[in-house]
Amino acid sequence: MEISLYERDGSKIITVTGRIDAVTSDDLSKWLEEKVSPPESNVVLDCTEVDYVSSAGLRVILQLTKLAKQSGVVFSLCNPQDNLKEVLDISGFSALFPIYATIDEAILPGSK
Amino acid sequence: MIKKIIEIPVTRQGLTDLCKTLDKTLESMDLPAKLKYKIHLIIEEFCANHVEHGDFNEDDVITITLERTDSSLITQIEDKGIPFNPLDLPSVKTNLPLDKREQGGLGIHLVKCFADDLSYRRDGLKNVVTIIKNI
Repeated sequence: MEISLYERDGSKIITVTGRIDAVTSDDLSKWLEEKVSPPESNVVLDCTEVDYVSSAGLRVILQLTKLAKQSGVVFSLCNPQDNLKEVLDISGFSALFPIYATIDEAILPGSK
Repeated sequence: MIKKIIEIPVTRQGLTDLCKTLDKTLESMDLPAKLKYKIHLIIEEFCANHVEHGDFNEDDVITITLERTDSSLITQIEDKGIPFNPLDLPSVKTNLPLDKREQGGLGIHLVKCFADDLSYRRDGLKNVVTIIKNI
């Protein structure tokens, strides 16, 4: 798993490549704690290159969503692949935060 | 029929090794991509649940048997832990608002949703869970 961060139009974009599973989720959680805790601007998780997410990954996403809400900013997720979309749907996560097809849509002022 | 047997220690290291190698095992069984994703997730969730919440000794193992026929993939997961029937776990409330969402229970919820058939039996001192995925 690889993680990177950049800023665009006032939002923080987190890009993850690879798998977020029982092994890698702790690394992502620690990384988020170091880099975006507390988030001071809206946060987008770009899932374009995410191959796989298990419940361990969902727990990290839930933690980030709650943290964003507590900080008064918006967390959104961008471009999940079909398998991940299904995982988000059946776990009820699709109703917890906005999901966009592209980064452009995610950072549009009207989409928050 | 293709049959594969995987044995992992019920430890963090065992789980790490499983997550790193399971893809290759599934790859060798000529399975559709979507099914591979789901069965990978099912196996990971069971093993993670045992490692994180089970009461096991260092030398205890989980044995995973995969049998691929023309029409299905039958996965059997065995351990010698205390009786644990995943079907007895209460359902996760997936429609709660963010403030009320808890972290736990999602793994077995995903397992239940992704299995076409899920059954449990206690066989002597063993838990035996059988998951069927139609191909």
